[in-house]
Amino acid sequence: MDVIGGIVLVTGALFVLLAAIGTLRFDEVYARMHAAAKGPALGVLLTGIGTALIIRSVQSMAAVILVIVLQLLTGSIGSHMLGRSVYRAMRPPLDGPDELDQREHHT
Amino acid sequence: MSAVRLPAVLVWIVILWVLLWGNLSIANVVSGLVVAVVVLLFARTGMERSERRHPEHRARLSPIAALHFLSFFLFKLVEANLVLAWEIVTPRNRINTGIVEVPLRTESNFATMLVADVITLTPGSLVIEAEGSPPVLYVHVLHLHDLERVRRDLLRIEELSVRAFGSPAARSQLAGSTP
Repeated sequence: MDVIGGIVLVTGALFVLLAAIGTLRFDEVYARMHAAAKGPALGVLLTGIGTALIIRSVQSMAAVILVIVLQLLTGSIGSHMLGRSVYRAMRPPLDGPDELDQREHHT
Repeated sequence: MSAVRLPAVLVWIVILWVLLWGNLSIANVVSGLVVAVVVLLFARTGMERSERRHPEHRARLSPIAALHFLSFFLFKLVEANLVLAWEIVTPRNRINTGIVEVPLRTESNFATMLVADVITLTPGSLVIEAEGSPPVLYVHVLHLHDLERVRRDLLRIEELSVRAFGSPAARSQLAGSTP
């Protein structure tokens, strides 16, 4: 059980590391946000599960579930607010269509 | 909020508080009660207003559909990370960004929040604007290669979340308009 927990824990940390590399490597605001918003979500999930597998008590399980749920709920609210302000403040260039912009031209 | 639900929410917040501190002591329960009352004083008004406006949209949990939603979400989360990890470690650039309009069919606040949350946590999609009623989400997509397919995938998330947590009214709204 400890071994499985350890593997899960390290895998989670690996995803956070990848997210960090992605944030550095991508050259555009939104691409960076995609990296920054998603890696940590799975990272927290896996580190949480790994921790619970190693500690194995009801109390730690409850705390872990709480941490994961709150992290997932609040993390995406943060990225939404950030994405929205970025759009309003600087209109980063897009490769494809921008249906939000099209709507604003209609009204 | 009805008279029955208010104490239930109060107790729930106290339980969360005690869990966060990790041990059950009188001090924890008392401070938890104080926190719960303060939280409810601030949060109640908003919840009450939205329930008064849409009394038919009270969320109702359906366990099997919720399980389906949860497994779909976990699958998507892992997929999101793998796609992104691949994009990060390979030099080839498949990025083609764009903003997609996703008109939702549900009017439920809770379902909208869930959908927006899941979209933000899944493969290369990020909600950047939400407005209107029924809400329209504007989603930034990292790998935009097939516009209609992306839209369909995102609406599928809505369908699953309404099936799992939506009110009967929201469910019939969904059934009434198939995309």
